Amino acid sequence: MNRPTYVMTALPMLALALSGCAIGYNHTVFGTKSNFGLDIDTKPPTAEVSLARREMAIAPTFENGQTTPVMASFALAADAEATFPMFAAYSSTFSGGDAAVIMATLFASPDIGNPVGDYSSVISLRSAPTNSILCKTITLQRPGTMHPFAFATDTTAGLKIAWSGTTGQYPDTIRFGVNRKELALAPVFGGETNGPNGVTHAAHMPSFLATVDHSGGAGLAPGLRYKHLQFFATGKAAEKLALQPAVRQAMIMRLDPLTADFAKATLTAVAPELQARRVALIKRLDPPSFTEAQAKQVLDATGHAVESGKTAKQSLRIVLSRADEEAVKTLETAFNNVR
Amino acid sequence: MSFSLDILASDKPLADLQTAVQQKEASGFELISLAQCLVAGQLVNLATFRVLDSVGNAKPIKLDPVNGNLPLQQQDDQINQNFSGKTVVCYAAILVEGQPVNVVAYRA
Repeated sequence: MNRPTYVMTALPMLALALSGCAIGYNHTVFGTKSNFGLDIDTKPPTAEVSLARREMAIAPTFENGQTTPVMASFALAADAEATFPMFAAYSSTFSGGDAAVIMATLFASPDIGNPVGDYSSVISLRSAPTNSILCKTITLQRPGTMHPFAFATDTTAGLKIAWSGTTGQYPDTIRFGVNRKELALAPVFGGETNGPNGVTHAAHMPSFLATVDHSGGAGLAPGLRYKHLQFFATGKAAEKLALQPAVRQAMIMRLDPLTADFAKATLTAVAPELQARRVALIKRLDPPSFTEAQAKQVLDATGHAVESGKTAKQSLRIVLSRADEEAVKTLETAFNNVR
Repeated sequence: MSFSLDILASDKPLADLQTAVQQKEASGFELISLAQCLVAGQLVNLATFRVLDSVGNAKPIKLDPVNGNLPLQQQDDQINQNFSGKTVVCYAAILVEGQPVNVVAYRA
């Protein structure tokens, strides 16, 4: 490491130490780096053509293993149109504090979160947390003091060549494709409280939230080639944003197997033989002599319920219209057993 | 009046989607609309049907594509010229083999 680089690295570290910043004690550092494509960088030194994802968190741990909450997600899909990595669809979320709790709690919920819901990330403690480094006592940031909170993201979709000056006439960053860095350095505040079960102290970290949702090609509205949406917020704004399903959508991208189940096709073309068996059963619903009670009996026997706002016959008609080979067999038996 | 919502596959050819809708209607449903909608945050093809009391005898639904690169007036002209005398149920862009395609749903 040459002298200017050494000084540039050492100075911020010294400044952090003098300001009382002890990462992992009274500060949480959380960072991720994602790459799809070419990435040559000196911060940190990297040279790769890859799909790569790095995640790192250094956070204080308190009694009973409690720690300040952070959450990140990353999803990427490249379809046949993705000749260049920049055309890949990707989404990412990065959050901490109450905003991270909201993101994890509401996850794929299509509803707007309750603004007065309990998404608190306050850590309850039965004694004041302390430790020491090099004979210097470390405590949480005290009420009545101010501390810097650093939060940044860097997103590239395409080609980026950057010079910082530290590498002479040569660029120190060359990227082609999708690249995103996220970093937060958040102070952790502590204070006295009077809670149940002997809780005397509490620790808390500010909220932060950054999301990105980038799509290209298939899946977009007609006439659109790209869609790029980013959110970046701290404090109350981050918490309010996290309550919005449209913001959490970046986390529940099409790749997520859990949420993919919610959008499975319910109507597909079936073989004529199967359709004929379905229709034969459906026609048995038509005569007025087939009663609601009988429809309910078939539904019960096949493990289905009457749908909200529909009659038993209507609910059974829907079940029949979606029945696969196995289900039709079960339904045929149930119809034959109807009294 | 009750309704039934169905998600149509977005990776199938138009002929498959047409068969799927026709089979649903043959089970005692009537297509009201076909559109892209958000379901669990994902954009999907959504078919909305009216639930009938018995299997109907309406003419079968057909799905035809319209060139989405045409200006609005030309799309308007195409629909009025090509579907005159037919019962157009709806006109919307849906995903066909993963691509958005303008589709007319009609009875002929």
